[in-house]
Amino acid sequence: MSLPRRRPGLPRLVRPPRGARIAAAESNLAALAADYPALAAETLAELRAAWAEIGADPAAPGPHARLFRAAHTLKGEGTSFGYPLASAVAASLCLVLERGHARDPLGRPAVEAHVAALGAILDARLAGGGGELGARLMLALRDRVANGAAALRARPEAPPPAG
Amino acid sequence: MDHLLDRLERLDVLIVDDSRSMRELLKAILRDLCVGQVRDCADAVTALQELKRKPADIVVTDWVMVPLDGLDFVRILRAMPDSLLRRTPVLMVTAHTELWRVNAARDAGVTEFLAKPVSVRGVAERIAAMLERPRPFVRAPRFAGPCRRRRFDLHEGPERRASPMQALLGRRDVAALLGEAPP
Repeated sequence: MSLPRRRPGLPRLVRPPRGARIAAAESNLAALAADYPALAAETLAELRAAWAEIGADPAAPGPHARLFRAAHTLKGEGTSFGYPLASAVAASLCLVLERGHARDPLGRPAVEAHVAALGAILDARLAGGGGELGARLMLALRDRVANGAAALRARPEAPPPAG
Repeated sequence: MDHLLDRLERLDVLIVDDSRSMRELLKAILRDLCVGQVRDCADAVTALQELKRKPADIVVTDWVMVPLDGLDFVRILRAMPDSLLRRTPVLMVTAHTELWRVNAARDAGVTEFLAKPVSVRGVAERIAAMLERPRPFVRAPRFAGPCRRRRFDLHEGPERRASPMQALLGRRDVAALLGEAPP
């Protein structure tokens, strides 16, 4: 059997390490995932602290940026560690924050629900998609977001300033 | 293959990420891939100081960080007077996956881009690409960094301007046969 000839002009294939080394690294990664709730504790604490500060002073810009950074971090790393449900909730939180819900009393219940959900997922070490519980949680969060958005849309516009 | 593995063992990689868990994850992956030395910094300012103290072969950085984000970190790195530091290959690992962000990273001088979630295979492929298919460094008035075009030559017909051997094998193969640097 002859090997197919490579087309002239194409670069040689890039060959990353394969086989046993990749498999061993993936196996070690799965072991590291068991430690994720402990590793993420710092970020979760930052998320909760920033949210508490927003509750005390919603107009302060610092906590809003910190809240978004913490949510963005959890969004990026959750799935890497085998916690896709945490990633999905954090991704939803990022969207809610980008829409400015944390800055508005009508939008804050949705943010509150996301922060509480992330805490519960990591505290309960709910790895993977979370099964039926995970699905129910995502539906409940979607409802909160929809309710918040509807309340924001339904709010009557402020009257123009006098004079 | 063995050649690449030997090169991994001689590599010195600096990880820059403000998330402790991501630093631990990337360190574990790189060590499992037998990367010789893995260092890490929790912010970009410390990373710049660390690179001045001891340059790295590859930098792996996050995007969203304070006080300096990953993009500004790369821009500063690419503007450094020391040409060795300036040319350091940079792998950006981020949850930002929108096309405009990928383009912004490329325009800032990022060498390779890896979207989260991170996998062993994803990291291995990007590191292999940086080692086996390095991009030429470009220094122009408005850009300093790895060439933003991939050096793929997808022309399938004979190369009329090439020598008969080049027309048959392709320039890279000829360079490899002659023991020269790839074009």
